[in-house]
Amino acid sequence: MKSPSWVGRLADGAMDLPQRRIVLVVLAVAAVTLPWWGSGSLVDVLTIALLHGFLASAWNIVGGLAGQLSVGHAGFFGIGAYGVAFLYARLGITPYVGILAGLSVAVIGASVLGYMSFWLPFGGFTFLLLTLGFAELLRAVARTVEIFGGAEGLMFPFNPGLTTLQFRQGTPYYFIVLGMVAGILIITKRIRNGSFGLRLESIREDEGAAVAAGIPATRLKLAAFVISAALTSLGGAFYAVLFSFITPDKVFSIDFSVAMITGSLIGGRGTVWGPVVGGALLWSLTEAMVRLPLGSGLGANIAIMLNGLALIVIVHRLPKGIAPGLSGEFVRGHLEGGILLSRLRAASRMLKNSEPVGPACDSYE
Amino acid sequence: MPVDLQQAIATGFFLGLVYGLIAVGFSITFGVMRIANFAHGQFVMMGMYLMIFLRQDVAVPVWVAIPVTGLIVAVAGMLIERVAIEPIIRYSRFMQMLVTLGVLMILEQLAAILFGDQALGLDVRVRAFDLWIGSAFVSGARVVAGIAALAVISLVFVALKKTYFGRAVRAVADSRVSAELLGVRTRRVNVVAFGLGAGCAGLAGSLIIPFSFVNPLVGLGMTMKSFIVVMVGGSASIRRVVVVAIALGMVESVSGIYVPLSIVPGVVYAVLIATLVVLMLRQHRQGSLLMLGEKEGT
Amino acid sequence: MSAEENLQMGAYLPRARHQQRESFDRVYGLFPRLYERRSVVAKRLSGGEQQMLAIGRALVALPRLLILDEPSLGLAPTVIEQVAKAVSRIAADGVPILLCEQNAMMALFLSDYLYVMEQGQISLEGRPDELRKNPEVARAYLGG
Repeated sequence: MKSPSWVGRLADGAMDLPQRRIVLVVLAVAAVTLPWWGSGSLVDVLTIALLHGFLASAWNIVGGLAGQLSVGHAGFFGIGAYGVAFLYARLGITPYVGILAGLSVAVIGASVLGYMSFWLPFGGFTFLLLTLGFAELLRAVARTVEIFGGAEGLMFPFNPGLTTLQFRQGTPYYFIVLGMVAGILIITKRIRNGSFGLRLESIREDEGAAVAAGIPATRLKLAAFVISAALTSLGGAFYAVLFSFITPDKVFSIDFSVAMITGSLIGGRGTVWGPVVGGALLWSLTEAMVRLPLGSGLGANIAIMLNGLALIVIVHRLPKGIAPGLSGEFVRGHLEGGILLSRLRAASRMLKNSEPVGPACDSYE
Repeated sequence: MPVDLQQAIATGFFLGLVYGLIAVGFSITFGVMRIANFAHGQFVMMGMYLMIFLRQDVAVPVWVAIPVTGLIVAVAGMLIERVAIEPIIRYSRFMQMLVTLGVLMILEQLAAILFGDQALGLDVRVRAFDLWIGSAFVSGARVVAGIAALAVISLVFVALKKTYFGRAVRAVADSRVSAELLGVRTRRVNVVAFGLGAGCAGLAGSLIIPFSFVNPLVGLGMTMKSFIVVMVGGSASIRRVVVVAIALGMVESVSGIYVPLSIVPGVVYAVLIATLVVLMLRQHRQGSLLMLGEKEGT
Repeated sequence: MSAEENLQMGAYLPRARHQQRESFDRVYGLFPRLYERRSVVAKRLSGGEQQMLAIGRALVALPRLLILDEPSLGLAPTVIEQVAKAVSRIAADGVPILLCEQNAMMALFLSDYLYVMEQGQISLEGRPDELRKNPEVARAYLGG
């Protein structure tokens, strides 16, 4: 499946180290200097796209690295959003506190859900069911309880300034989200390359064997879930600050949860860069759909339908996503296939060449 | 007992029977393919819309429309299984469930595009079956729905227990490998099981529409309810599934008296959590109380 | 699924299904215990009964070759005896059987021809009366 074009080679991971580094540095410089050479609307669009990349990456921590299918991540997103919106719109409390509030609630919620799913012996489907209902439950509550704005949602006044985290221009938002993305990339990479990630991987591959080897699977899964939830809530808080307006049907919707999942998958579940790229890409595509002049919201419907279709197609055709090659550098040769695959590869190479091969360091370093 | 409570319990009973039908459909897919079909509720939704269409636009008599709806949705389910799930049947269940999520999205939005966002309903009166239980009144449509649901459930039960193909389905749910070794064409069983599940859901949808509105978003709630029922009752015993479903129906109806309607799903969710906690505490007695994936058909 | 249902599943394929009645009679004749317990869920059967059920299920499929993998494993000696007797009757009925057994006595008793395997290699072969006299058999079996 090697394509001749350099994009193809990049995606296949065929580019070796120095070239890859150069590409990344160029990208980074371009990203940071964007506000000076790009148009205002480009900055705005990229801001939101990167936010979606961030969210997909947050889901990736529990869905990709830990391998637990959470279908209700929109719940944590909404918690973060409502944390900021509610405290500011109803009580005039600064978003900084709102962010912390949302974070705390998300962490507590994830802990409870995680405890019920992983500790209690009800099988893996409990997690699915609990996360599924979680976002829907929150949506129902937000819609009904007047204090949270009901179905119309919450809107808060626009008072630009550093204390309210509201700005007249898009640029500060852009840098904030850029920082968030950089942060989550670092976090994901740290997890993935460290012992935490290795143990998560073994849980993902074969939980029974991992537990037998002494790995505290439940604790680690819980940790991944909580981290994921916390980050997602940060994304939600940012969303609220960015738009000054949230509705329960948007922030808690399953469409959102699925978008995070699809984005993560498109880019490459379990990789470092994949979800960010995938999430941003997916949002850009769907947003383009929404803008199509098809009259009365038809574009939105088609966009979400596309989301679902993309999910199915990706699973069928490209289950590893498009970016495993990009992240090759950042991982000790442990791609979606995990340790097992690279060891098998090493073993088969050894058999073929009758030459000893060292530990499965698959050439990327 | 106050009248509205009696009312709620009676209504909830018949509602629960229909939920039982939906849950049985879900449990068949769950047991045979070991995946939670997230799009299950969409088949219910499909049945609801289809019933409206058949009655209002094609003027099909009710007694014909119901089975026809079930059949059409069953076929749709089989097609979806063939196209979306079968190609990746060797992949992990995680992936297969992701695909059902995709199907969920597509069907949901398709409904929104075709029928719009507003709630639609259908008016079907079956005066002859109006029921008075004490001081509780249950409308004929609800009674018929409950009875019909029970009838279909029994049919499914008998089919699973007595027919050769039904036994094959149970064998696959029990142990796919063994069944395959015995000559069962498991791929065919997959398709039929999925279709059967969808058909049950669609049929239930056609039964429920006279007293429940439909909009593109109802699917998710239905999926959740079936999921809850199967989680609590297990997918091994149809009888247990029906009992749990009836309980769910009653809980839902009764809570509708005390809390605003849109919080009711929240109540159900909370009851689920409470039930899980209780079950956990009693878990020591029976090992795994939720014997997922075993079909005894009892 | 009950024991009887398992047997019914054994006769799933059309060729076997036609002869279902006779096959069932045959299996119940071989394993009367199974007939008594035919409505019991297979999981709840004892080890020996499950083994009989497994063999019975294979039989109703009208096999051209019956392969038995360690049928005596985990069974009490009296049960092993029953199973062995049943297997010999099946063989007498004309069903070719490939028996893989680590219980040497059972293997010697039942078989028409034997292969002794050590470490994945065939080290000896022959008819049971020949092998019984062969000191190598004792060594191979006990020496390891």
